[in-house]
Amino acid sequence: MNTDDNVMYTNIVVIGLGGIGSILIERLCRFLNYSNDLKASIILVDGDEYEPKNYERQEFLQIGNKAEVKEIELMTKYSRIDFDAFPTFINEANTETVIKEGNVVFLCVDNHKTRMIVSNYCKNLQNVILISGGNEFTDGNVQTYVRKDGKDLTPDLCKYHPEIASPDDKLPEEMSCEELSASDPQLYFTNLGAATLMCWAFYNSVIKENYERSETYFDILTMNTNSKIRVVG
Amino acid sequence: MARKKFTREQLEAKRSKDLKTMCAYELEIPGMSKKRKEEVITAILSKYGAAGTTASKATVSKESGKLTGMEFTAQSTLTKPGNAFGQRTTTTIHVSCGASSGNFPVAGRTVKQVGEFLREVLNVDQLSTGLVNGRESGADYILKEGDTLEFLKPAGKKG
Repeated sequence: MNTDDNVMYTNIVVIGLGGIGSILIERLCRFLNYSNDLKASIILVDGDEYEPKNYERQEFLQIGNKAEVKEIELMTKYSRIDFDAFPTFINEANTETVIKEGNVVFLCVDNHKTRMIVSNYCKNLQNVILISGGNEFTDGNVQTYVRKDGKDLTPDLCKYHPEIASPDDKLPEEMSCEELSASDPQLYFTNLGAATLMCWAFYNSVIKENYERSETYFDILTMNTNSKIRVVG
Repeated sequence: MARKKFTREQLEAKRSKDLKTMCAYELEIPGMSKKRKEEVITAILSKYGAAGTTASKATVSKESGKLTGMEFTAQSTLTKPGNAFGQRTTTTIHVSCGASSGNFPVAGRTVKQVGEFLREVLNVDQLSTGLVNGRESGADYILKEGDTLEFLKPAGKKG
């Protein structure tokens, strides 16, 4: 993220364009496209295909690779933003191709192993903001990992979450077709909740540079959110 | 005139309105008209209170005439060392797990006990780690006034 002539240049990477990511990207682009003091580029990352089974939760206009389809859609709607598509699942080998110094990364994936890989990669960067969201059927959480000048300002994704540090799941590319098709049911409104909180996290961490509350839980049944101050050391 | 003495039981048996009238016209305790009944009682006891105990049943030996047993109830007002008499000490602790949270009277209990006590209320997982004041604590840590306790909830996996 750079500033020049009162315009903030933001390089954003959105990893995962499923239930959370496909909702998030529309809201994010609307905000960025019409903010005169912001200029953004966005890389869309997903190796998955948009299929009829995704209709109830995901926002796409046509069948095809999610990153490529969404890139075309967004280019026609938001002309001030530069888009690029990376139609591949993220893994340890290609992370450095996608995430660069100073990026703002939205992590909207459906497995903890990818969260672990991306969080550990970001630990080696000097400046990065990583916003990760995940959910179960009716609840979820959003974490914000901020590094500035080589120091952690908030804890990485693994520090308070051993299930991310030592994941018991697989990357999408490691899963069989049966495993990929047998996904747990999800609720559109829960995805919407996670996407909304990720937008809040973006506004706080990138626009306001406020990193105090780096993790937020939500539960749509109790209609509660609970933000936490996490200790780095 | 002999100084009046009251016990908590006597005062609790009276209506709030009567207690306030007593304060205003008999006991010379001002400023009670808008207080809650409990606060009025505490104020009266602080000025006119008998010992906070009530002997309810005494057993005396017929042979020796000696007191061989006594049943009684006792009431006290918990007070911080630096506080004025009657000022209540807050013994509730803020406990959270995920999006759920609340204040619960668990000071003096261990983290493990609280996890079991609130398992269903806050949906605390049996293996959940307890953070006291934001830092990891042992399961045997005894909570004290002013602590906050969080049981870590696993991150959402799907997206």
